[in-house]
Amino acid sequence: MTSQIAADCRTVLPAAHPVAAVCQTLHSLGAGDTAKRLAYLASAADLADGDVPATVDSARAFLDFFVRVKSDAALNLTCSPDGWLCAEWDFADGRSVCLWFLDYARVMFVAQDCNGDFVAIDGDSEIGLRGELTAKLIQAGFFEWKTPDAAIANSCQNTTLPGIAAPEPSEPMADYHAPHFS
Amino acid sequence: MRPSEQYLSTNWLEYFHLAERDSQIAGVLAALSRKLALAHTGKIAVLNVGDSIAVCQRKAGVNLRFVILDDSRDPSHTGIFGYSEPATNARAATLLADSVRPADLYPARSGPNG
Repeated sequence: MTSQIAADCRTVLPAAHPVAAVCQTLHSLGAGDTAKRLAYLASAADLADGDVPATVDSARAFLDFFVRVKSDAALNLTCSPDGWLCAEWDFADGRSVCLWFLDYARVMFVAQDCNGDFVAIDGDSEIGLRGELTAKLIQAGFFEWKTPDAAIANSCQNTTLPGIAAPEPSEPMADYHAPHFS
Repeated sequence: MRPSEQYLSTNWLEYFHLAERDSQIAGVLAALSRKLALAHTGKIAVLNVGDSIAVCQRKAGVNLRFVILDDSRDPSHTGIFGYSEPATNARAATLLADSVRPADLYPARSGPNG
């Protein structure tokens, strides 16, 4: 099944495409369906006039977020006309978080409680730096840091942290604050 | 909505003076096909103007305006104004998306209801 998903990714995205490495990392983390969806969104296979595929920086930013947090919410990936990958987590209790990865550093976001009311994660702002926003979303109870086990498991595959298994981003990670595992 | 855009393009279903929703959607698709190519997986979502205005006002403090545009190529062309500011864009977009019922989504390519 997983090999079929990997093959599906290759079908819609050439191996040389920069986002293919991101998909491969997702696949190796057991997120085959997410990898397949990302491959589709990053391809030029089915675009409306004027739309662009998911950008490389957007995909890498999503991966970096994805590997650092955990949640039991259902994840749905879409893409804006400008190539901003949009990840929506729908929780069983009705809460939801929607993140648009504008580039490698900046994220537009909304979070809603179980009544559909917006949660002020960062005051009235809707755009923030990914590293800071990750910590605030965890503080607000939407996500948890992944345990060190995730990184250890990935290191068995001769990588270090999952987030840097993909090619280097085109922008510095100045905004990122690494979680401290205890 | 893109940062450079002032409104979100929509189409006025009642413009076509057709009673059936499927026929109204077919009218929209015909109008859009003269202007742009849509993705195979694209969808046409039906919004209620009053409900959309009310929910965005109540939950996001955004005052939406649905305006009929002067488009000779597509007289049904309308625009949703009032949420182009970055501070309200995401919330209004989320509320509009949430207000669409699954039964009010139509394929953008293969015709109404598939």
